[in-house]
This record gives sequence, C-alpha cells and structure tokens, in this order.
Amino acid sequence: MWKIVLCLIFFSYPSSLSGEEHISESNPAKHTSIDVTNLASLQRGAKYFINFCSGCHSLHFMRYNTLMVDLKITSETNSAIDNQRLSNKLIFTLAEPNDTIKPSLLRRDALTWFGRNPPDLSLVTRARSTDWVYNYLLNFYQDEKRPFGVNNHVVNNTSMPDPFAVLRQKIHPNYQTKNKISYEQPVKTEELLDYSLNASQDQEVIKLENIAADVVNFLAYVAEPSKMLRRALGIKVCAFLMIFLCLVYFLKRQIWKNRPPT
Amino acid sequence: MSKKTRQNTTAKTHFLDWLSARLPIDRFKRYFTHYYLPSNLNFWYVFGSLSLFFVALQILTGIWLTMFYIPTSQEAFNSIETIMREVSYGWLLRYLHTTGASFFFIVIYCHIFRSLLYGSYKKPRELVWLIGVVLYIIFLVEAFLGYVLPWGQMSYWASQIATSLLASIPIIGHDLMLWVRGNLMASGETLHRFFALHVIGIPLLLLFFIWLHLVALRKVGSNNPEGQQPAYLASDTNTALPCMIPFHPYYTVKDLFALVIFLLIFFAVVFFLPEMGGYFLDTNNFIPADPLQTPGNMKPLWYLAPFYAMLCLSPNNLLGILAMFSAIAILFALPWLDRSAMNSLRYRRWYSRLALGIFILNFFLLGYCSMTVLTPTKIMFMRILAINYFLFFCLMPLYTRYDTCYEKKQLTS
Repeated sequence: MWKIVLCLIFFSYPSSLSGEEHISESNPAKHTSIDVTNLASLQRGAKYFINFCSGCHSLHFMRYNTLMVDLKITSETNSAIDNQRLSNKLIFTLAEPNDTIKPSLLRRDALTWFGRNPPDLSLVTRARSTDWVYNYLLNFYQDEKRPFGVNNHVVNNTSMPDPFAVLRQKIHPNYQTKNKISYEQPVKTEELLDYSLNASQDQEVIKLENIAADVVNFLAYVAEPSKMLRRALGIKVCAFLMIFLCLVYFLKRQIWKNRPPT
Repeated sequence: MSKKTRQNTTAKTHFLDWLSARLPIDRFKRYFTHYYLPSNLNFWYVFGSLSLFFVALQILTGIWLTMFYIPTSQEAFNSIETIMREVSYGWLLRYLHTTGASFFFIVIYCHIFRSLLYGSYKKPRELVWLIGVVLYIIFLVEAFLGYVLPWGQMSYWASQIATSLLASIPIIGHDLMLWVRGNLMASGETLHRFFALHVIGIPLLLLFFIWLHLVALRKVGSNNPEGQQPAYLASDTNTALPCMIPFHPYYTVKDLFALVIFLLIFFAVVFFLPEMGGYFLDTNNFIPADPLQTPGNMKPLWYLAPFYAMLCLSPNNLLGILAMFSAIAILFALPWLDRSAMNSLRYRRWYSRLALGIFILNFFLLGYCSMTVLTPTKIMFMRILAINYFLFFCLMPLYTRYDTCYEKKQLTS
C-alpha cells in the first residue's frame, strides 16, 4: 500500500529556489500526484488542515461555506444542519460560515513566538509547487539548537514548528499511549520517537505521508477552486470550435471557388 | 420615390435608406468590398487581423476586470483573487486577459516575421512599418504596465527594476524616476498611475495608432508573398502577377477561418494550460508583493525577455539601457537598411535567408537565456548573441545589395 503512495522521483532543484535545501542523493525529493477530483482526499485534507494548520495559517481567500459546497460536506436540504456541522467540525474560531478561514493567532504573538507572521496558504501550491509543500511538510527533523527543537531540510532554520509533531510523538492528549503516560504528566524526552526519515521501517511516518499528500491535495484545490470547472468547460468549448471550424472551412472553400481566375 | 417603389421596399431597406442618407454607410461598406488585395496572400498574412481581434478581446476582458479590480497596493492582490474565486466566471476573464496578452505577442511576432519574410517594409510601405514599430513599443509598454497591476512579487519587483532604469539617464534621470514612481520606491502611487495608464491612457494612444496603421496600409495597398514585381517580369509567364480580389468576402472569410483555428489553440491554452509552465503567469506572482524580499529568480516577461537580455550584458547601467533602446530603435531604420531590389525572400539568395534564420534563432535564444539563471559563461554567450542581433541590421546594406536573384528560389528543392 505504501508503495502506491511513495513515488520516489529524483529531482535536481536549481540553487536559485528560495531557502537552502538539502534534498540530495541520500535524501531524495519526493513527488506526490495531485488529484483534485478525489473528494475523499480533499475532505481529509480539509480536516487535517483545520486540525494541524489553521491554528496559525490563514486561508483568507477561502470561505467555510465555499468549502462545504465544493467538498460536498453539505446535507443540501437543511442549512441549519450544515451550519451546525460546520461550527462543530470545521470552525474552531468565532467565524461565521461565510467568513474566510483565519486563525485566532494574533500577529503580535506570532512575531514574538515565531519571528514572523505565518504566511497565508491559499496560493502556496501555485507559488511554490505541490511537491515543494509536500517535501517541506515531511522534512522536519530533530534539532536541539532550534527554539522548537525541529529544523527542516527544505527551508533551513525555518521558524515553523513541526505541524505533525503530535503524530510523530504518538502522544495524543485524549488517549493514553502504550507506555501508559497520561497527558497530565510531562512527556519525557526518552519517550519521543526518533525522527526517522527512513519510511520503510516506521509505520507512523508512512501514515504521515498520506496525511501530507491529503493536505497538499487540499491546498492545491484551495489555490484554484475553479480548476475542474475550467477543464470541463474547456472540453465543451474546444469541441464546439472544432465543429465550427469544419463549417467555416466549407464556407471559405465555397467563397474561394468563385474567385476571379488569375 | 413613386408609390410603387415605396410598396416594394421592406422595413429593413427603408431603415437602411434612412440611415445611409444620414451616415456614410455605403462608403464604410466600400472600405471592405472595394479594397483590393493580391489573391496569393498566404497564412502569414492573417496575423494582422488576428491581432485586431486580440486587441478587441483585451479591451473587453479588461473592461470587465476593471469593474472588480481595486488599484491600491493593499487591495490589488486580494481583488484579483476575489475575481478568480467569487466573481462569476471571473477566473475565465482573468485567464482570457493574461493568455490574451501572451498570445497577442505571439501574433505580433508572427506579423513582424511576415514583414521580414516578404519585405513589407520596403517602399512604398515604410510608414506602415514605422507606425507598426511604434505600435509594438506601445504594446510592450502596455503589457508591462498590465503585468504590474496584480501587485504580486514579480509585478512589484519588475516595476521597481524598470523604473530604476530611468535613473541611469544622465542629468534628469533621478528626478524622472521619482516623477514616474510617485514615491522614492515603487509603491501604491506607482501602481495607481500605472493602472490609469494601462486602462485608458495607453489604449487611447493605441487606438489612434492602429487606425493610422490601417489607413496607411489602405493607401499603399497590401504586399504579397511574391513581393513587388519589377516591370520587365510582368510578361514572364512563370511569375504571373497575382490578380487583385476584394477584401470582402474573400479575405474576411479567410481571416475568419484562420481566427477559428487560432481560437482553438488559444482556448485550449486558456482552459487547460493558462500558466504555461510559469511563462504566461509567473509562479512568484502568486505571492503578494513584499518590498523587503526580492525573489531569487527574477524573470522578465517572455515577450520582453530578448530586450531584458540586452540590459544584462553590460555592468554599466547606462550602456545596458542604451543597448536595449537601440535594439528597438534599429527597427525604425530597417526600410532604409534593406538595399535589395526584390521585396520577398523568395527572390533572394542564401545570404538573406541565413541572416534571417540566424536573427530569429538569436532572438529566441536571447529571450530564453535571460529567463534562466545567469552565469558568466551564459552572459558571454548572450553578448555574442546580442552582437549578432545588431549585425543582422548593420550588415544588411551589404548583403542585401548582392543577394537579389531574379529567378524564384524555392525554399525546398
């Protein structure tokens, strides 16, 4: 199963890309195929984004109710149920369903804690490509010198903490771990998982790649929600033009038949 | 009018009679039905009317975009994304406009290529050519101003670089740069005035020059792929003079046919490949403008790329700008640089053909190289290409004097 998800393509990134990347022969860049028609993936991506990313990152060109309609998480009969579902499952702030997705992180807090405001992610896959975002999410590694204990191979000395840290640590506040540590006790460093980049040995990291793929798929959809409509309309327009071309060709031939002889 | 004739006229002809007594409708119709062109025009000749179509398309889509676009530095980027997502078919308007701009330049380059192929700039059509070059420059400026409007990273830094070029002009440069920018650096004021110029200032100028271009062309008549025939060849049965046919209906329907083919390609790109790998819509332009962060990979627009290449070639700013402007200015001299007796490339020897081929290759390579990461080797290579570019024009009086061939040389034997 993981072989289907894990497609290893060796890219050679030009050095002019922003950020210093340590994508190399030993740590090859990964590729994920994007399919914005896969609604299940988009819905999971929306869920993961709201859970792991929307605490700090905004999507200030995407509205909650647009998400609802496009990702078909609507009951289509009762808007009260829809709004309830939205506020229960997707909206963790005081936003209304027709508001854009904004975090509750204050700018001054962001500057204090991270050193910069977390950028808006509505267009990140268009600005940087889906593979860049995918690789960025998966290339966090442990680094004690950094304030959050993590660094990133794609953007060196990134100010962002690892969004999937809770997954990597196998510690979740709502249930106990196999070592029976409750969430009230502080987590000891020894209990933390090794930040292994070797996917074949660690089941948790494999799931992480599925999660990252879904998030990137979702972000690709957010970057251009009209993509599928554009392609559908394009087929119709080109089909019409091909038929019209035949008609115009015969018209032209007919008119040019009557041209005066040279 | 007798009673009998009045009864025979329909309401439509009655209306047309009324109208033509008050407006020069018949004369307007005769502009198309009584304008004669050679019958042997090939597909290179459709690009003129195609470019007219694209101007109309840009104006229409531009008007609709202007209804939703906000020309301030805070809101420009957001308004474009609002157009893409919340305005009905706003994404279509935006893609039509951006793809239209790039396709317009493809059409114009083909149109210019036709003139180089068949010597359409030679006597008596020098003024048509000169007005055409003026139009080309105005379109380059218009396209550049339009590119600044989304106020993404590329837009902002392109405007910063382009306006800073002005500062290299001696004596008046710095004040000129401040005047154009409206501020010490490219800012909301620059955006707003570029918006005014792009939306109404330059289009008015364009419409005037397009009208002048067409009027000048009508006055002298169209060239043809055979070029002007010298008088003594008129009796030669091998190279018959093309007969003249009216523009309407022959060339209206032929241009319509060409238009539909071109629209097929155009809409395929609009609907399936609007970014064209970053050439039509740069990826950096999806990041809002940040005066504190220059993108690592500054790229010019592809249609400005060959001229941008001239800028990169000299470490001296002023020399680079002079090279760029002279690359465009030398186009004005073309009708007088070409000393060939024959217009068309069909009647020239291999010198002109080789020169033209090298010139086109140069143009493309210069453009392509300037859009990639520049290394010292590349810059050296681009210097050679730039010199080649100028040599095409400077050596032209020499090689065209000796390359006239009075028998038609087919390109394929």
